[in-house]
This record gives sequence, C-alpha cells and structure tokens, in this order.
Amino acid sequence: MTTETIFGHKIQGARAAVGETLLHLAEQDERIVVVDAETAVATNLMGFKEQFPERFITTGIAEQCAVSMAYGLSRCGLVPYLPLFAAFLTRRAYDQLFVQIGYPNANVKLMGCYAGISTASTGATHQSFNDIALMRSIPNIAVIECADANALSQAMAACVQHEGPTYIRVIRADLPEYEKNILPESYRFQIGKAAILRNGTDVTLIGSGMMTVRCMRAADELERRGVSAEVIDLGTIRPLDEETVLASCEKTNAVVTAENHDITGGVGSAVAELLSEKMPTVLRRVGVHGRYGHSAQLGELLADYGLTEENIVLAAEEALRSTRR
Amino acid sequence: MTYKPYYEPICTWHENMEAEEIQDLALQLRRDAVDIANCSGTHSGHLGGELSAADIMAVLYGGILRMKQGDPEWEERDRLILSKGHNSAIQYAALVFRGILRREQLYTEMNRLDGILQEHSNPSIPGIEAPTGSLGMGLSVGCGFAWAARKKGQDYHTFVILGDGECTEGQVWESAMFAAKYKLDSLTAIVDYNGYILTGKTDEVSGLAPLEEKWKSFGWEARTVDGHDTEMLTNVLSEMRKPSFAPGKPRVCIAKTKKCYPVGFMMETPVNYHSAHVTKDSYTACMEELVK
Repeated sequence: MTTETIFGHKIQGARAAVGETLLHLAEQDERIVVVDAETAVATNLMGFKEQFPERFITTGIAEQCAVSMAYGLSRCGLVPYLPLFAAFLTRRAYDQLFVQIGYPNANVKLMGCYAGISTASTGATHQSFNDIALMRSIPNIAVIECADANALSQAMAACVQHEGPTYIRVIRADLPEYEKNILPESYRFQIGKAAILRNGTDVTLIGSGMMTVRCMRAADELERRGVSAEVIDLGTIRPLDEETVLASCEKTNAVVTAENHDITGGVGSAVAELLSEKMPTVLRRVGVHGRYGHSAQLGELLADYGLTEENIVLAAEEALRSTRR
Repeated sequence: MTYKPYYEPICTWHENMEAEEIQDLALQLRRDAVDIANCSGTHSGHLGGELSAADIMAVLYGGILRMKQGDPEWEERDRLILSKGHNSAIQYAALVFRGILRREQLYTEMNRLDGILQEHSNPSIPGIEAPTGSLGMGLSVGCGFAWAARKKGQDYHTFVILGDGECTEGQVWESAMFAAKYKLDSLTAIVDYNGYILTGKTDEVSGLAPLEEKWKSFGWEARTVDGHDTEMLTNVLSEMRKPSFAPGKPRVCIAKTKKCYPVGFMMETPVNYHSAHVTKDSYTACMEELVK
C-alpha cells in the first residue's frame, strides 16, 4: 500500500485505500462522481479532487444536502460515492438516507469513515457507535465492513457493480495491523458472503472490520488454552450470511461476536436475531456496552471500552462455561 | 370500482395552450384534487396547499415544462420536483392531463393498499422524480439534477416547488448555498407562499419574512409574483427557464398565494384544511365553489 503525507502524518491502510481505489474506479467508470461534505482531507480524497476536479462535488459541511443531492445524481444515471464521516453521515442525514436513498433503492455508494472508536482523539461526538444499527434498519441498503485495506478496495469495486444503495464502514486506521493484510491472498469480497478464516470446533468467533484481527489473535490464545476456535470475518452485516454463521454455530455451539460499535443494534444484535430464531446458541457480544465515546489515545480506549483480544478470549471462555452448565 | 366525478374534465392538452385554457386547467386540477381526496382510501387530503399550488401546477404542466406527452422517462424532459410532497394529489391530476397517469387511477388508487398513489409521492409512480414528503429535501435533489445536466451536457431545466413552511428547514438553505456556488442557472425554485403553516401564519410561526431578500442574499435571482395570476406566472417562469435570464444564477419565483384558494369557507380558517377529512357536505360545498 502506498503512503501519502498529510499534516505530517503518513496515510496508510484503509484510509489510503479509499482515495486510491476511488481514483482507480473513476478511471474505469465515467459514471462515478465523488460527493464530499468537507472531510476530503481526512478521507484522503484530495488526490481525486486534483485528478478529477469536474467529478468532485463538495457541499461544504452539509451532509443532508449531500445525501439528497446524491439521490438526484443517481436518478440521472451517475454513480455517486460519498465518503463522509460515519457519525455525521448516518446521524445528521438519517432522514435523507431513509427517505431518499433506501426508499427509492437509489444507486448511491455511501461510506462511513472514521467509524467507531478508531477516531480516538475526537471523542463522543465523532466516534460513531450506532451507525451499523441505523444503517441496517433501512431496507435495501447493504451494510459492509472490511477487515483490511485489500478487502476494502474489493468491496468498493463490488459496490459499483451492485445496483442499489450500499454503505461501507471504514475505520481511521492508525493501527499498525492495517498496514498489512489480515485476510489471505485468496480472499475475494462478495456482498453477503462471510469468510471462514480459521477452522475450529469449540467456539465461533465472529469478527467485523478491525475486530477480525483481534478474533484471530484471540483464537491463537484460546488454542494455547486448549480451546479450538473458528474465526469468521463477516464482511457484510446486512444481508447477513446466515448460511455460514448457522453452519459454524451448529458445529461449535458457542459464539462470540466482536465489533467496533455498540452491542445494541450492531453485529452482535444481528447474529443474536438470527440465532435466537433459527438456532438458539450461547452467545457473548464484545463491543461497546451502552457508553458514549471519549477522546484519548487509541490503545487506552480499546482497553477501557473492552475491544481487545483479551476481551474476546474472556468472552469465549465465559460462553464455553455457559454451554457446559 | 367505478366512480363518477362531480365534474367531467374540461381540458385536454395541446401545444401552445391559450391563457384561458391554462385557467381552465387550474380549475380542473382543483376539482380533481378534491375528487381525489373524496375517493381516497382515507377520505382525506392536504387540500389547503393543493388549492394554493394549482395555478403554479397548471402553468408548468400546461406549457412551461418540456415534456413528451405520455412519456415520463424521456431523457430530455424538464424535471419537476414537488418538494412539498404532501400536495401530491395536484401533481397526480396534472400527470393525468399529460397522459402519464390514467384518470381512473385518481379515483381508485389513492391511499389504498392495492394502489400506487401515495399521499406523499415517490419515484415508483410514473412522472414522479423524487421521494418527497419529509420536508426540505427537494431542492437538494434539484441541485443534483441541475449538476448532472451540466456534467452530461443536457439542456433540460429543473423546477422545484417548495412550500413556505418548508423553507424553515435548514436543508433548504444548504441547497441554496450549493446552487449559488455551482452557478446552477438551470435550476428554478418556486415557493408556494400561501402564508400558512400547519398551526398558523408562517411568518408568525417561523420568522420567514423577508423571504425574497433571504434568497437574494444567498445569490439567487428572485422575483415575487401573484401566484394565482397564471399569465404573470407564465411570463416569469418562461423567462426563468431561459439561460439568458440570469446567467450563472439559480432562480426563485416567490408565488404569493392563498391557502385553500378560491374556496371561501375554507379560506376563512385555512389551518383547518391543511390536511382534512372530506365529508359529504364539505365535498359538495367545495365543489359548488369550484366553477368557471
């Protein structure tokens, strides 16, 4: 992954992938335009703006206008990509997303950048802990979160091929692991398809986005403790890959979900809804537990909000104890 | 289901409609709107704002809009967005006039489980360009249409009808800034300034006035007209449709109208008729006033 410098910081991983992939996609498909709401520096779109000034639109800090206008562009046959901040795209413009993107099944490609705890220094206002909950309750919109930058690039391309609205959730990615690939080289992103990254028999760890690598590390630790963990990278949160999740849970009888989001309404909720109706299974949810964010260093926040591999290991052991009762 | 409207249609479309025919069309649209409310599955409608917007609709669908009769997806068509989407019935009536909806749909498909005509319109209905009804969103969509027209080298014009009450939504002014910045001179907003919001006078509820000055200060070319004078509306809107009218500037026509116009008993208490059930008595009383 190439790097650029903005404000003296290297841009790597997922953030670099957003800008580079949009450039690549725009070169191949002249319908693509980018709509910005004054977060272009943060989301690494300045390169796109420079290369395609006539295909870069900015509304200023006006997410509602950006979303409704994007519907208008899509109705005229263009394919607008909107890489905005997750917090403001989904909260500020929610009515617009519901009425003018979901309802008419608009061919608009949404991206919620700086998702969850990953924008550590900004705190409660910017850390979106409920964007998955909001987006997956709008019919028609595919909700996607990727484990690494390579998968993200693939997902962005897949969204252009997909006719209809999509939402990709992207972290800020200052974490060292996002400079490398988490998923195997053979990984191919497909909307609605989860990937089994590791086979196991005792417990299923379901990760989404930046929590997938933590599930992998937790599986290593569990193995040292004599527990065989299966790891699934969800990839798409809606529509959920029910088949893959159910097959794994049938085998293991215990599940842990891990998400960079509140456990209410997010990945844990989606899995719980599926399992409780189709295959009641012991479940523990790792994620933010009903709290607002806080501005601090990322490492401190991950520990304080319970988003580490240790939290996943403990949740898995607790789930296993519960199955043996 | 069969339904006999109170009046038969008095108007059919042809090119170069005369001023008097536009007035006939406005009357027909008003009668249709009342008929639609009377036949709707909920026996209700947003009649106050439909009656105030009828002349604007008649002028647009009677001649200003570049359209192909019966073809809602013609690529070169002018785009019209009814941002005050609760007044959809008056637009459905106009779409019948332009051969895009069938007349019987007005009587059998409004607010019914098996009908397509929704109280707030959406683009699954032929001739409707955008989902509206949640107020404040239509002008942003119009910005998207106008931007796309320039991008694709098309010369259609985009019209957006706003309610005055709707102009209290912040998103309207986000879009106003956007349109001025991008010099969207193929975009015309029309404010149906009927003076009443749901609970009272718009200016008292919201501090909307002075409205023309607000638009001007946002960089728009503004005109205020009598919104029931179809000849004046025709003149102003046909001028605004021309690129030469105000190059590089979006346009706004502030149409001073009266809520419920011209039905006397409704105009006495317009707040009662923003959205209302239609009874046998009120239907008859209303129709008795909607005569030539």
